Amino acid sequence: MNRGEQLIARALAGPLDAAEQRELCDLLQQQPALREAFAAHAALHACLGPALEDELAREKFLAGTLQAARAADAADFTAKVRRKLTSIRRRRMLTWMATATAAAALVLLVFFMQVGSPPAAALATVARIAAQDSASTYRVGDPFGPGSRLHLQAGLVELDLQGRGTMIVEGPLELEFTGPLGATLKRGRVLLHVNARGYGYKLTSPQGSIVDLGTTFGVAVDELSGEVETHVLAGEVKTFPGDGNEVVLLQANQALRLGASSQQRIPMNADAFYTALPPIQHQAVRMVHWPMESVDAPGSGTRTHGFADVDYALRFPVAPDAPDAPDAADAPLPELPKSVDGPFGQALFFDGAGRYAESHFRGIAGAKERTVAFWVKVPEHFDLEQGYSMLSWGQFAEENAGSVWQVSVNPDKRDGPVGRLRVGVHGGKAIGTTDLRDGRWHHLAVVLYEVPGREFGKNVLLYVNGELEPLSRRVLGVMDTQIGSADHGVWFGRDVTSAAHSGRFFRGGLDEVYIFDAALTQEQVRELMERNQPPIGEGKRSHEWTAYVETDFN
Amino acid sequence: MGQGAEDRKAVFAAIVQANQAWVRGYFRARLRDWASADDLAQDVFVTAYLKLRQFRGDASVASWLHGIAHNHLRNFIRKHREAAIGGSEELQALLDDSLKQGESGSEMPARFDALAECLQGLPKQARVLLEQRYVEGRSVGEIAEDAGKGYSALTMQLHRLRGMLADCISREMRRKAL
Repeated sequence: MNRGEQLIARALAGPLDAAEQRELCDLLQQQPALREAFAAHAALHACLGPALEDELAREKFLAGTLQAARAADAADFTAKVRRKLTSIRRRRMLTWMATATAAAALVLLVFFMQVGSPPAAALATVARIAAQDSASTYRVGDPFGPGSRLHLQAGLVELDLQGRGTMIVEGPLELEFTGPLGATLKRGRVLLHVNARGYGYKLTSPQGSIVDLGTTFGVAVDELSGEVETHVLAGEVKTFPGDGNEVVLLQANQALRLGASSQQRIPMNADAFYTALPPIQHQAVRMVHWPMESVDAPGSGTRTHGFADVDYALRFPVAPDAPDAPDAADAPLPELPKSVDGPFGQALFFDGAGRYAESHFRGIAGAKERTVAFWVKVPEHFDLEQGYSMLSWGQFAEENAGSVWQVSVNPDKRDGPVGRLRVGVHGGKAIGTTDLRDGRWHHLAVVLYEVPGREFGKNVLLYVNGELEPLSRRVLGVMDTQIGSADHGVWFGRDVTSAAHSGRFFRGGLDEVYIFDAALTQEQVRELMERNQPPIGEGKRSHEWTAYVETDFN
Repeated sequence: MGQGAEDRKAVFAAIVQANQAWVRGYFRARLRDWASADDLAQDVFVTAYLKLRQFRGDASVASWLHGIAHNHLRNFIRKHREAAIGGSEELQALLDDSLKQGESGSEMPARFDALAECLQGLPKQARVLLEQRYVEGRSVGEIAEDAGKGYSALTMQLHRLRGMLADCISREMRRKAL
């Protein structure tokens, strides 16, 4: 294989360095045959994804395109009518009422002749989108008419039921709108707030239907088991199991599980549903960013934005409770984290034996909104004791529920499936569904938004690889992260409860760690994941990094 | 809903199914961000849907879509400066020129069909490698690490595979032309 071919191969595998770029450009300009080869390889490189995809992926693209086309068609029709009316109004001010009506009728007549019928009135519209999977393209204002479907692989979306109430839907979900007062839920979770105009709203599920009697209720359809759960948060609903010959009345704080041939009263679980979406953020975002490049230059690249301009660089102490802590003065210290290749530059790999990292940054206090985002690589073979903490802060005390903030790989099967992203505050906790123990890099983000009071649970969103993570378990709790009284700053890789439980350190890689004092949106989380780009202007480097740059590069 | 609207929808669905793969490929060859590329492909079909009545059949559907795609790409590039293949804008410009010279809108679906047939004949291991790279979206470095291979060796292996597929597509196109 000649040099030109080698460079083409490398260009399609990843970015070339400047010298290679120059060399390839020169070769391409000199050799028409090489240009042709480059075009052929690049075209194949681009087409292989679509060509190799399975039928399901193609169907998904088709469904998304059809929906986008319908929405555009409806918008186009409305815009045409509006333009026509405006034009007529200008020309004929004196008789504008009559003329506009006639013109609208004409436009409608033409439309009927061309299309067959006007677009159906929307039964629901997208009011807010907290998150949606990367394959979904819903936008605020998208309408859903009779027979139209809402599909989400993952996400959290609020719908306006056209004055009849609101619906919060959580993916994976498939929902079909059947009429002004009805929808069919095939899988997923929805929370309905129905007002007086929506009285009698009927949600049909695979195991029966649920009819609102002026209420707030949640319905979850589990696709695998086929079971349907209805939880009434306020008011009353009527449920009609199976073919609808029987009626079960459910009141506030009651719940029912319907199977294919069974029904069972269960405890009402208000934790199972999101009852609000994150508020829209207007304030400036403050952040601290640790690129995790090297233990030799721990401040390298540490950036602050908005917080006090002090040194937040990492230190690497040995915990007194470390299993490998030296018991003699001349015993070797546990090893420092190693530099390894990360998603962006270098990353640090902690060995779980007692070394951890600490910053003077104290974290975010109380129940204030926050986002923690970073890359993690969890080994396939992983002692669960090593999952207790990737990142934590606050002051732990057994009696102070809600006093800490800790992001972990869930180590405790009593709390939920192990190996999943977990955030806990000592009491309240939320646990995701993706097993992180695969030896690959994953981008994680935990977003907490502020709600009245000091609650933790329904106001936390987890993201794995930029997608909203369905929760496998959520436990509500109080929240009041104590940083004023804490005897340490933010910890990387050490269990924040070490005062009570010693010797639990993280084993795995960490890269590009960010802490924000704001609830980031999904788009902002994806920007971090894809471009390592926080939602701020250029941040300040810490003092140490500035000195490092001046010493080593100037 | 009237019969006319239903017919229009059915025609449109058939157009999307027959052409979506190469339209996505068209944008993916020119944009590093393949999610944006797929969004633009969807925009092409939405435009086609709105203009379906204006399509006179003077050219093939593929040529018509190709023209719409070209316009969407031009607008997109005007608004966004995309990171380019190989990390170099100059390289991307050279590539764009070569792609422009070599492309024919009407030929796109046939080339794509030929690619699909060539993929059928691939050995399983080669197909698994391509799926890891192009369906799962894993980087060459990640695949190499998991497979215990060198980065350069895997880069060249992928290059050879693409070369073999390009030869196979040419053979298939010649065979069909006979």
